[in-house]
Amino acid sequence: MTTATTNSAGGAPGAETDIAAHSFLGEVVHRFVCQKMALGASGILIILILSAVAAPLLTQHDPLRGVVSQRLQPVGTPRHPLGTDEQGRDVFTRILYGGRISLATGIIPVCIAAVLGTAIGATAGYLGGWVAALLMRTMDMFYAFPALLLAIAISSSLGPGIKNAIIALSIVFIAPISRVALVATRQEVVKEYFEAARLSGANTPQLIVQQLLVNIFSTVFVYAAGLIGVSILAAAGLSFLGLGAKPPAPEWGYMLNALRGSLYVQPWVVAVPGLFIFAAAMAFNLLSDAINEALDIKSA
Amino acid sequence: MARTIVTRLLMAIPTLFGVSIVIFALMYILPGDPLVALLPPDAQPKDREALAKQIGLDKPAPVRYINWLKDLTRGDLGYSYTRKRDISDLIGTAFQNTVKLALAAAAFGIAMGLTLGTLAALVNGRWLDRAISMVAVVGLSVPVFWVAILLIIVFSANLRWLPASGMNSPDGDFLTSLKHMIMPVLASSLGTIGVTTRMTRASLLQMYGEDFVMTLRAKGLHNAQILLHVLKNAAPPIMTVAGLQVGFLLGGSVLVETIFAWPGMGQLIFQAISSRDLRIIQAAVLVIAITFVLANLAVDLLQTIVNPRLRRGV
Repeated sequence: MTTATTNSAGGAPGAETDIAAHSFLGEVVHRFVCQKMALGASGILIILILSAVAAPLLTQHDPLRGVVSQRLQPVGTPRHPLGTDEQGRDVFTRILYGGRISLATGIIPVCIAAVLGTAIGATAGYLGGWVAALLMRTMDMFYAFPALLLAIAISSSLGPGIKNAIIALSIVFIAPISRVALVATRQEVVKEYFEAARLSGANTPQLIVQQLLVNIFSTVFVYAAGLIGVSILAAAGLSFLGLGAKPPAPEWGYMLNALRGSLYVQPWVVAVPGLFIFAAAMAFNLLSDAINEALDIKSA
Repeated sequence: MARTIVTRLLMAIPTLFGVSIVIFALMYILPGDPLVALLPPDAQPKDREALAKQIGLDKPAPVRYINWLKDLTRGDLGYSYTRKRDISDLIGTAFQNTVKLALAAAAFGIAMGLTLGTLAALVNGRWLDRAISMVAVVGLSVPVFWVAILLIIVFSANLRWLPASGMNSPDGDFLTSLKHMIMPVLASSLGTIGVTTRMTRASLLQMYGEDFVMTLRAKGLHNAQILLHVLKNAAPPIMTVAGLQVGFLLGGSVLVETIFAWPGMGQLIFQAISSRDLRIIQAAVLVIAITFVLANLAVDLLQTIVNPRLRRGV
């Protein structure tokens, strides 16, 4: 169908020869790998994730134990390529291990919120009526807060800790995802295929799983993918404020705050953890842009 | 139009109630014990009960909510036992300082975003467009607290051009104030620059594809004249996004204020987190959330006035 519109609009002579059957997924993957940015971002993410997972293989230092006599060594010191922190711990080691916490606290909340938000939005969109009003008005209450501030309020009430930071961020992202899922659901349930499935005798669970969820998935996925960068920044921000990872756990945001006092002693060591937060957030943002672009076949 | 404005104003009331419910729930219903921070570590259960009664925590939640709302309408945000002061006093000055920073950052960020976004749309597809789009993604991805630290490293520690912390000395003049503001404003506005640039570029490109642009070209208008028409038509979504940024900056300033020791709401919240004084955090969040709702309402109303098509209703 896409090719038909292209032909009528473009009117290029001989364009019929280009028409070949592509699967939707194949086309999307092709469009994805054709973007240099997408490949670069994927590369950075794979390196970050692998190095976090394989941290014990890449370094012999202990992320929690430092040598007092070697405090605040500069970047480029032998055996400490990224220097040492205020307690003499190897910064490179702490960055590697820190990736486990920092990436997880960025990604997990979006996944939790995607599941719960889709459930809420799809229920509201499918059932409509007072259920939808109740659910979505409840979601609206969370909309009245700037995201980071709501996360701060929730996690400070729950108390510091990674688990509570993840809960706080999940709650923050449920409201926007549920709204996206609601809009997507409302668009799908009025379409003819959905009506046809209903008339052919599909029961509610079948309709929801086989027809609805499958069709709103890509919309929710693209939106949620875009939130991971936001989530990584917010999670690091919470830790920076003392609401996320507790000392002495290695976590990028917390490391940045702990090193902040040594700003005038070893400025470039202080800058290291932030560089990794930036790289992770940037890679996820570029990746979500690329996925969005690759899925947007119609406008091509 | 008056009717639309009144409807919009009325619609903000349930939102504000929602805000108050969320804050109240966070204060008293979550597992954390609000009394922990107020009591000495060796307090007996008897002391705890006495304090609970004194603050009114022994009453059922709905009663406490109503009492709390009554206090709020009188401008009473409670008393901070760690700072030994009324919370409304603490918030008063801090709020002014935060608004000052947020407005300056919003003005700078939106102006930059509009300029860069327009430029990118005009050279669509060329290297400058790609460079600007990259700058926008960087703005969205960069941790503000890291940028703040980098700025201090470069401009305070090395070049010694700008002060690393504080707002102004008591006897400071305008120039000193300005110097104190440059780095906090730069650091806070990056996200706004990113969002506004992307939105401006996308809306302008969409408008350039509309039929009326071709009509204008056919009539023989210059590119600059066409740009004016396009900008006017692309304005509503850009205004919405830019307006939201003012509110976000109020809330997002926590990290930047903490680093530059800017005496605003963010620093107040950071200190309250360190001393586990939940009441200050909740009060500060409440005040910012109310401002956020009102700022969004103001943008909404402004849109209604500027764009006649929105006047007919929701």
